[in-house]
Amino acid sequence: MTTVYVIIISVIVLLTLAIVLSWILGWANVAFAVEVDPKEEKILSILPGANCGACGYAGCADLAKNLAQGNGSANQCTQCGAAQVTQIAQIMGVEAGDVVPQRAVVHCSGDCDTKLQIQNYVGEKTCAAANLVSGVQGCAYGCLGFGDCMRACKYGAIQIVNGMSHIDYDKCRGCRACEAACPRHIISMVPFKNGKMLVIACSNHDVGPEVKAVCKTGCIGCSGCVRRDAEDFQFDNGLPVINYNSYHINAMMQAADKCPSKIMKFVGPDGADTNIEVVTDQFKSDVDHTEWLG
Amino acid sequence: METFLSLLLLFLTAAVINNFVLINFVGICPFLGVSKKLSSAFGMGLAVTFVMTIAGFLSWTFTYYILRPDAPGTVWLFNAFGVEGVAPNLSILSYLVYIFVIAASVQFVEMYVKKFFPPLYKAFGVFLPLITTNCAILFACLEIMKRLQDPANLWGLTEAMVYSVGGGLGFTIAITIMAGIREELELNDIPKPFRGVGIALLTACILAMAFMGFSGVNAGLSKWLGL
Repeated sequence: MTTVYVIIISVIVLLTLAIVLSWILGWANVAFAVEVDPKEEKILSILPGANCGACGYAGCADLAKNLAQGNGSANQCTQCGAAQVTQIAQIMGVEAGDVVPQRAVVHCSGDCDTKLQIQNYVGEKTCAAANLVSGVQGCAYGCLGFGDCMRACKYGAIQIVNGMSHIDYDKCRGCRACEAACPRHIISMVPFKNGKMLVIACSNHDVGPEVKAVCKTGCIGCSGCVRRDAEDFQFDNGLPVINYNSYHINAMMQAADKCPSKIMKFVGPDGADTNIEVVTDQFKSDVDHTEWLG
Repeated sequence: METFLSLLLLFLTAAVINNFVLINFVGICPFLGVSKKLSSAFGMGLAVTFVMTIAGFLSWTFTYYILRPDAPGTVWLFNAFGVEGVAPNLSILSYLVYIFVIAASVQFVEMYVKKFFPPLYKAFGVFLPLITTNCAILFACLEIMKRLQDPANLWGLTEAMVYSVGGGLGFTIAITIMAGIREELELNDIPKPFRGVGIALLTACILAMAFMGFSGVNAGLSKWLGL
């Protein structure tokens, strides 16, 4: 009989504890409730949830929070298409703005056939390590080809072909992981206004003869492109820089044609056109849904 | 003075001499899991200290009044039901009650912090609810329970609190040292078979051996202090 009493006492102790604690927690749940902005939840449901960090915030939840508070712009997420940006802008109550996808480009074109290899590098096979020692290759600015960017890419969009990194634009989503991984900072983001975009495929700031000594496809810094078209090109520290805010397609094609070292290249997805603007908006029906359609 | 010295010795014992992680081998999961970055390791250590303090307080209270043999609450309950012939002892419930109470209190604290200290909540992040299921917390509770078994030599609330704060700080010391070493290890050329968890466990092993150097210091100290 005593055993039964002990069991009953144990049950009473635990039950009392459970009731008291759940009452306290239930009260706290109401008393300490934090109001979450409904905008934030909606925006978060639209964002891709990849947490890539390309927007500059710590993950999609952080971006959603900031967007809901009105910080940042609706097209801040580099992975969102036009449809998502329009939705986000609607929730924020602002204009959507231009949706131009940012994509990575490599400012180098020196593969194993064109760049000067000084010695056989036998150290650790990463760009970060090879960048620390001199004499891995002649060019002190160009792609090392050990694939730090390839390993950083979450989408498998980068391949090392013949000692030179190549980006697959069908897979690139503009998350900037490669830009951060490259120790020589030769990967940058370019707004892809057209199907294929012109890039300066060289990063060597040295003067002509020195460039020619280490690479067959380097920019000699003749500044011909800048003299022909000062609006679209600027000359900076031995290299032309394309102004992607203007970017006139005819001038670009002419510049690529006239460039003596042929270091200006159109890059983009296979089959895309250089001078046709990408249609990023969704198709809209011209049927008036306010009418009765039968 | 003597009480203060004995409390100090208790604190040192919990924090360094009988370090939770490196001597007692509890709390290994966060010790290996969150020790890759110094800043997050330190945050984790502080969060554990915080939860352990609360858990120590609650476990002492519940053990002292209900769960130890001949506890006042238990005696009252047994008398109220008229139970005779058995010693009033509900220590069989201790594990259940500890887990129950700690989980609920951490939940409560989390809600409180979220409402009134948002930056702190952001800093603790996901750690706070995770620590609820940390074995180091339960170890502290069980250790406090052990010291409340012998009626002639009971721990007061002060001792229990000093012990749990010391244990939490000991955890912080261990995980911070570990994170510092692991950050440096990232830059080293480690032989292939040891990379990753292998070298982390080897590091933990050498750290534990280093902390073994403290063993017996508490006995010597208490002798020297005349306690």
